[in-house]
Amino acid sequence: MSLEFTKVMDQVQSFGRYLKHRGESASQRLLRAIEAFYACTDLDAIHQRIDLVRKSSVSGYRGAAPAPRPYDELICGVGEAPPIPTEGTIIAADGSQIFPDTHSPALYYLINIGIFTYFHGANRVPHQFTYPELYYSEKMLLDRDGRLITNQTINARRSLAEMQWLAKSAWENRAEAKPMITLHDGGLLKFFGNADIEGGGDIEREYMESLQKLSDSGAILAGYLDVPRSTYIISLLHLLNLQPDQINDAILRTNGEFEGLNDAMLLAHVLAPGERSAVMTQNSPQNKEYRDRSGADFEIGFFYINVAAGGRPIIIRVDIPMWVARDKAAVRALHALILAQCAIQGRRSYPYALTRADELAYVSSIEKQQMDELIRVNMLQNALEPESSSKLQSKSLARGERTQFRLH
Amino acid sequence: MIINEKRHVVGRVLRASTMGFDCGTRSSKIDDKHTFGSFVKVPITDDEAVIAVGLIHAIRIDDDALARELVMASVVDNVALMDQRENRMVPVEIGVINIGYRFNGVMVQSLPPRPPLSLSEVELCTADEVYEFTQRTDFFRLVLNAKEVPSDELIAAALNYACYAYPDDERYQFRVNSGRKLAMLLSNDLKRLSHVLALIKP
Repeated sequence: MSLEFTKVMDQVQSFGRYLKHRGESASQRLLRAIEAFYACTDLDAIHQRIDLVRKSSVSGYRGAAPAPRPYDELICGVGEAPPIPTEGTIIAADGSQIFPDTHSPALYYLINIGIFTYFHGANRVPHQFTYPELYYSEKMLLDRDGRLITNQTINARRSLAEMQWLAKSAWENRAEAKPMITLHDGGLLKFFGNADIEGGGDIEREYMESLQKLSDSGAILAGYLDVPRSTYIISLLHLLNLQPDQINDAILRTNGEFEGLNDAMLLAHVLAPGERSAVMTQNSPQNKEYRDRSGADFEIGFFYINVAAGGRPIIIRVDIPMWVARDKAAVRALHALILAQCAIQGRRSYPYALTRADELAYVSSIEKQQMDELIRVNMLQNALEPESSSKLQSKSLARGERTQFRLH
Repeated sequence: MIINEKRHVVGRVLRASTMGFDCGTRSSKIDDKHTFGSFVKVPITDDEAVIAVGLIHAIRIDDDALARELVMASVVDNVALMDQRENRMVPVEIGVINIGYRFNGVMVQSLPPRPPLSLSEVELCTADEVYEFTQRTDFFRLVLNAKEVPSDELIAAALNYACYAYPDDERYQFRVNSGRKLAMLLSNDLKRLSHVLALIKP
């Protein structure tokens, strides 16, 4: 039996009404947020407020902070679309995985990384590579208690592999045309410390080593977030709205009168097509850890861009390490080349290099089945009986295609 | 038009039956070898003792969502264009109908006994092979009766293609003989006949 849409239709309509109501109630709050945003003209006052939450017993503030002096920018300021460099190199990385499946012929997982190098301004065919890696040893599959590792662990290992290959490609291409942009799909501030992630400490250490290698290659590293739901600026506006004696963890747990809004909603009314927001950093223990462990260069900053060519705004977030944020020319080149990449695909404002890296990395469900089949055949060649799952076999019987009667 | 003794690989067989086959190649490889009405050959046995002969009747280039988006851009980026043609797995599919086969050196104008196997290499026929094959005209009926192919345009394109395999002093006679055979086969459909004759008129 498949999904009976007649039974879910009422719920979908109710969902639509809920979204409409939420949008209407947000519009008033949004107007107040825009007003508060444009009032953020005193950088000294903002720094003082941030110092207050950093030095006091308050630990719950997770909002935006201006970039460290003297690289800070006016919070409500916008940067126009800069001229596009005549040449440059854009390297994009993305990853995909096959999670371990207890119904497979044997336990394994696979990580596939796609790397795409685009030579901006040069009449050259882009380079493309994939790096598939199969993991099947108990050491890689089981945690310290002998249980199968979690999907979060594999996601963390995939993120690490993406960054490692990006760093390797940047190093190999360091003689290519500058600026060299290295694009990672997703945020740069990773949280590998979760208890569900096996060997999180080692993953974090290696991740930081990759960032170091990228810095050594002279690469402009950026994490690209399409449809960001972050509320960093909204949280900052809430913080600035409070009286000093009101600042405590309980109050900072929500965004007060701006609760329910996010940065993209706000900036859609602020940024014209092609414009970017100020470069800021996120105030979080994770970011502090990056700074404390590897130095000020490795604190992660961010800015937003409206990548739409016109019409409805498309707000995306770009994460950058401070070694990039401090270099105004690098930020300008990154801003310009992201806009140039987003213009390639017509209606879809998304970097072409990332689209292609994703295409290279993607492992489809059909390929997963073929991978299982290859393993099954290989096991038989080695006189091993593949494990068969009755559950999976009976499922595929029921889900299988029907055969038509035909008069031959 | 390429029709000489050099080996010209058109593509590799994707799917086949005794009626015909589809072969594929990369979009960056498409050139003069992929011409509507060309004579092609493909081995149907490992020792190449039996070779099927066919005519290219369709050349298809599939799109995908990314290609459609690139088309929508105000200016198509040149690097993206090269990427599409050189890197992306966008195959060109070439449809072929079988019109005969060679068995132990003898050309037979009928459907081959078996289809070619997947991934067999499809080549253009050499000028000598085209010349030899078109000494007889029994394959005309196969082409004219073929379903789901533009048969009138196909037979005309094939005859125009075959002309290049003939020495200059034999070309005119080849066209006349072909016209006569067509007149015989299409005697019950004069509109169709006049259309095909117009297409092969020098």
